[in-house]
Amino acid sequence: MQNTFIDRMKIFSALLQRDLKILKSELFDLVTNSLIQVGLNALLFGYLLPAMGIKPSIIGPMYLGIVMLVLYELGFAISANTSMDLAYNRFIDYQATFSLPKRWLFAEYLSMFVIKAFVISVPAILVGTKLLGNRLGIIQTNWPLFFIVYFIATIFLGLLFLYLAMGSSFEWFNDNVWPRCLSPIVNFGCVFFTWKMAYSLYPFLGYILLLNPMTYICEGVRSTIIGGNQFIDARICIAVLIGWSIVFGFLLNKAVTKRLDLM
Amino acid sequence: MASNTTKKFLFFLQLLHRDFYIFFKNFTTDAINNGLIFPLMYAFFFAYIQSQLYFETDMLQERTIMFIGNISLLTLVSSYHFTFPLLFDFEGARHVDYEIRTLSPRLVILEKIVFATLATFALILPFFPFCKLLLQNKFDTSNTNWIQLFIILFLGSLCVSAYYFLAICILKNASRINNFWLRFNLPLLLLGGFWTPWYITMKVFPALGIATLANPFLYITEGARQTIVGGSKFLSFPVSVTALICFSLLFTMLTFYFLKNELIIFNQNGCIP
Repeated sequence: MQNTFIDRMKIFSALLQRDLKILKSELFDLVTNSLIQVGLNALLFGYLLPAMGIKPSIIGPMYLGIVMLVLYELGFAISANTSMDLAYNRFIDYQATFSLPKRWLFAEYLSMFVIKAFVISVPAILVGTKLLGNRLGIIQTNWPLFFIVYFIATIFLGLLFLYLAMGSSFEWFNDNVWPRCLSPIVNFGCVFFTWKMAYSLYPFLGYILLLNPMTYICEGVRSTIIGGNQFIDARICIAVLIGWSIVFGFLLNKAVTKRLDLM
Repeated sequence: MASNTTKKFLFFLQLLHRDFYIFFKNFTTDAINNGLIFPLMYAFFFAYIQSQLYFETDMLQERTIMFIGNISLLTLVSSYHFTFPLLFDFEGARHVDYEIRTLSPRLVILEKIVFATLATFALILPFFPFCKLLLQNKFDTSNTNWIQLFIILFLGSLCVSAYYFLAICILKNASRINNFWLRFNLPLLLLGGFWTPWYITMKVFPALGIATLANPFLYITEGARQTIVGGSKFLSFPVSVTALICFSLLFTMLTFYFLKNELIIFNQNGCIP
């Protein structure tokens, strides 16, 4: 007999509750990790790099770009666990026995990633912003828009990392995911500089960087926290990130069907 | 009849031969990833794009100094690839139990350190020459002593490999790798001259500068900067070499000490003839 929507919601919320309980037990570790990252970056970008003669105008945008790597790190951890599970433990087989469509199961994975990302990284960003203060060169912060950009960015990253885990074998993932996927996304993603700076240096490079969703994550966060007109507008970033999320949602759906639905 | 020491030495060489056989089987992937993609990307973004955006046009030396620090990350990533399978083996098939039937646990670990050092060194060796080819006059190598640089890279590989085996013996569990990267590797990397040289840390925070002298990664970046850029701003070549050798020995000794929980206890339980 087909499960009703209410039944599915009950299973979904039970899974979510279980994961939230696990998150609660890991929370101290996770927050400590992100605070270590943010503290080190604040020290580096606030004090050490300016002493080396780096242009002061780059400090704020560069810091915010690198802080986004906290999300990246979190996404990679989830992706690596999923990939390892698919190769060895196959806990996912147990979850597949629930009377819940696989899309719902992955929606739960994604919801958990978004919750985890917010709980862990947002306090770290706020602490880092306070630590660096004037060095960030803030013109006008738009917090509501920041949370919208951040929410969509976490959804996109969740889909990307789940796709990487589902769409590749554990061996390929282990050997190649950083050099061939994740590093190029970071390096071609305006993490270490702003898009307008790259465009003014080499316009062709600027166009290439526009193809990378990471560009819109970093620029969107910069645009909402620092403000001004030196970054890509946050509304454009939101639109493009929604588009990329749809693409990766579709790719993830195909990868899940191929990997788990043997019939 | 061959003596016991000769037999052990032959087993040691056979294990090394086995590891290199596997290494060469995966060589294409490793060479593409670590020998081509990483140098290309780092050279293009960190030395070419980033340095032009961060510094004024006349600051070629600062650009070079900043770029050189990337070698510590590349060494860490490459060595991880050859060392951490042991940790997965501890949790999985425990192939290592078979190996310690042929050789003492300490020699097995020593063999793994030697292999990881040589394999890491082979992968990071072409990094700077390749970057020079790509960057030409944007990478200042006018004062570079290439032989000394290769010595630093070799000792850096040895030190990082020994450090990783020590970490494996202490971690014992793959689920703690993420914490290990964020709580140990990241601070050691960022405060070990990855972006900024030691003299900058000393200038801004003298106490932190003195504390970072206990950071082994600092001597990789300082040694590389000294041998590429030269001058009196960085720690000298003999200091870096001595520190890297001392840290490597310390990590190896500590690995032997902590190893007893993982392997030697097994050995004493009578499982090994």
